Amino acid sequence: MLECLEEKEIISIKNLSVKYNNFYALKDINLSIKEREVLGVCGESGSGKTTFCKAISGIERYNGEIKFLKKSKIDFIFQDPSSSLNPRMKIYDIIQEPLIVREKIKDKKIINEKINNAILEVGLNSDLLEKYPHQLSGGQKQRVAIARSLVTQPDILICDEITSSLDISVGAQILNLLKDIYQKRKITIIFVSHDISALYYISTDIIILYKGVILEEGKTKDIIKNPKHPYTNILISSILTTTKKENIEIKNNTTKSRCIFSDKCYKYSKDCDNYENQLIDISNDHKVRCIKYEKIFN
Amino acid sequence: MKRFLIRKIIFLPLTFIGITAILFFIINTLPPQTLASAYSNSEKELTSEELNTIIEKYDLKGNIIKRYLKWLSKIIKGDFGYSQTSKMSVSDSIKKYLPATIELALFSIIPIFLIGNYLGLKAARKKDTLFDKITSFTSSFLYSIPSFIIGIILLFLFYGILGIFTPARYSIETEILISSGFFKQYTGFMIIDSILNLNFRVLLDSIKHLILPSFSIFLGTSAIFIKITRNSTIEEMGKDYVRTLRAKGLDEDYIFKKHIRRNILIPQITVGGLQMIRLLSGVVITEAIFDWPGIGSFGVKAARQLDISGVMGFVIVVSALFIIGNLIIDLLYAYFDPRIKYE
Amino acid sequence: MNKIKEIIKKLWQNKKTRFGLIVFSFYLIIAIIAPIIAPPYRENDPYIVKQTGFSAIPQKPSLKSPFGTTQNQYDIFYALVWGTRMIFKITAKVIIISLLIGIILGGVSGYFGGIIDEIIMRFTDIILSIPSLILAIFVIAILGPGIEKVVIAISFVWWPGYARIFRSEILKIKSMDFIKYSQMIGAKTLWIFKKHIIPNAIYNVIILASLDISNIVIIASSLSFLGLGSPPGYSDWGQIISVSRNWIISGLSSIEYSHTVVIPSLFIFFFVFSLNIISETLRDIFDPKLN
Repeated sequence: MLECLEEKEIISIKNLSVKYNNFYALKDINLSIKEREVLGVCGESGSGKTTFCKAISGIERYNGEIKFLKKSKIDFIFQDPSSSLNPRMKIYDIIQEPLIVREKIKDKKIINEKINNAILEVGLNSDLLEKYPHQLSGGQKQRVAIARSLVTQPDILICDEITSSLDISVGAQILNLLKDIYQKRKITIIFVSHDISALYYISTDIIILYKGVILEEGKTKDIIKNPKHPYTNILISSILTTTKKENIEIKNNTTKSRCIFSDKCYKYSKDCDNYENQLIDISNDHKVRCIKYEKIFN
Repeated sequence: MKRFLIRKIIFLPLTFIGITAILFFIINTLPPQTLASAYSNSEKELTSEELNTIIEKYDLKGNIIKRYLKWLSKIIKGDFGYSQTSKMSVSDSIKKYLPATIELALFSIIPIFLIGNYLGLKAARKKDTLFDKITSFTSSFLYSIPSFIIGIILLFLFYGILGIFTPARYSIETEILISSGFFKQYTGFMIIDSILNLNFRVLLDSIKHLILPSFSIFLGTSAIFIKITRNSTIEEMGKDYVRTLRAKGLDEDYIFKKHIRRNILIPQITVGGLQMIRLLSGVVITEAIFDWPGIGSFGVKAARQLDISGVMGFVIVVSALFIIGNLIIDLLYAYFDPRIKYE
Repeated sequence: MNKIKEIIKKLWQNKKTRFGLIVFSFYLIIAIIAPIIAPPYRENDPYIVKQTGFSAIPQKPSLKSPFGTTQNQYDIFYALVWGTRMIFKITAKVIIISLLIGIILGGVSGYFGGIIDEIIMRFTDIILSIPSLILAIFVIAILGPGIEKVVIAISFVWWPGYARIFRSEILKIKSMDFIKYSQMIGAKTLWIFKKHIIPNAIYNVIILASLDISNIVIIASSLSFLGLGSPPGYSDWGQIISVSRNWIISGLSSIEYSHTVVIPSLFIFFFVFSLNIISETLRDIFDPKLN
């Protein structure tokens, strides 16, 4: 688990929402991301986590405000390296692309140097540079994707499920690599994953997304050791065996509540129907969108 | 199923409009003077004065969309203009030549389906035997020979050397009979007409003339149909329900007749439909080789003489045939494919 | 370029295809050395067929005319050799032109989508709904006969097929993450096309084009056979067959003159056949990878 001690805000998100036709992929997202934060975004499929990444990187239209408090370079690492690397390009050219497109560097020597540094930083051998993606393993390909994303020294790195397509051991290596990189550079990371144990390992802060809404947010320590939302509890129970599992299950309720999780919530009761669905402050950056938070034990 | 068919039928006029639009716009790349000759109804060549009159009359220098709509309305009524090639109106030319093509096409399609089906089924049942190997090899081999080469070899063999068959649609005697009025062409289809005229000789004569060109078409297009019949049958034969039926003691022939033949209909129809394009193009070439007085010969002659209205009529008619053919295939599909039936 | 060498190697290993490759190269060589093995008859236009005499009756093969002559003494050998060169030229031009148009229109259609996609696709639909030979005949009726017109007519009929394939490849690629990445880092559309889309999408189109060669040869020969291609007396495969046919139709033909039919037929047949063999195996080579 990492901790972020910076206080300077780098991304300010206010009332962010993304609507597709007739449903909200993201609704009322308000967030303040600090420099050198590793923001873990936890959610299942359909939670809006990919839309969130797209909105921040600027390739998705949104309502609301995403402000970068200083001019920031954003880079992206995708989930499936077989899809994120051009199969007909050599590794050298793949890593070279952002240098040419973004930095507009023309000097071959400088490009060579940067690429070699990048490839070493991700723990790969430079003779891989002449190969094609299909000649590499999944883990190697993902390292190449990371190298490509780091070669222009970005300020913000968005990682969208980067370990989900890999074997668990390989994924663990990637997480370690990411941690190393984070500790060596001044970089802000947004790390999206459905795997809360990965988030526990690498994030400084976590937000829990469900159907486009933040159900709980706070420092990693608080979220994992002191979860307040029933949904978070369900997610945590899959990794921590020391929690006292109190009847945790997915229910099927008929509710009139505005709470977006109420129809599946095991803590649902009639008083939830009056709940206005606002975020409630618990402590120190720890917020939850639930009125049952008192009754959850850890 | 109704919805499926309705959708298909609605698309027909749209496709037709699309095709005519493109053809019309291509034609209008020609200068007005050349176009004017297409609008004339006389045989003689036009003086520049007459040309100008026509240009004015039909507003050939005017708005193209207006002209297209005017022209389209004429086409729909069946007025394609006058053909310099055949010295009669295009629609009359079509009436004269189309039956010959359709007769040839049908006379070729029926053997393709019947014989092709038979050969394919037999090859499947005798899989990997000499019969199977020879059939597969011969049909692929023939399929890869250009249709004009098959045609010319057949023509040379059976006419040039052996003298058994002759080109054209009927012999000179029959031609005399027709032109003197003793043989009435009720439908334009020689086989039907000869029966209606109770003329056995003409019937034989017509069939004799049909054999060579339709055989040529058969050789050039049946291979894929034979292949799909064979392969689908083999696939069916390996299926569980067939094994069950065999275990129950049912006769192999019965299984084939009642079950397998029906189940291979859908791929057969699909492939048969796809072969239509090849058939239509093949008919044009075959008509040219065997001097068959069909719409293909007419179209090619018109093209050679830059007879614009004639070629236009030709292409539109063939495209219409093609669209209708596709519709028939879709209808057959809808009839035989249970998934669409009960949609 | 390495890919091409790889493909040729694979083709060579298969016995059937090896035969096809050898035969094909044989024709290619003939096309190239045509001026040497059949010295031009007329200096201004080498494609005008050599006439060796005045007799109206075809002559059997002899030392003077290795393949014999047709009626009016057109030398069959000369016509077939220069006809080979002609067919290579026509086919190459058609493929280049229709590939160019197909890739540009298919590319625009696939990448930008929207109403432009709709329009271009409807357009290709309509052209594809008319049998190609027939539409080609129509175009030539408008343009007039001639070799150049044949090239234009066939290209007009051919490009929609390539456009559709290229477009569907682009649609597949458009959704890939490496395209999104390039867009995200701000790459210009032209860059994305050049570096990512074309190298990935063009593969299938090139394969399709190479499988198409025999079809183009057949339609070009057919158009010439119908009298819509080269002028009379020209070295053109379709024309040779047409001349051959005229002799049979005249009623004067018999087994004596079989060389007028058999030699050109075999000559053309082997070319098409070799192409078909190669196509079959090419299709097999690329199918698993396509999946």
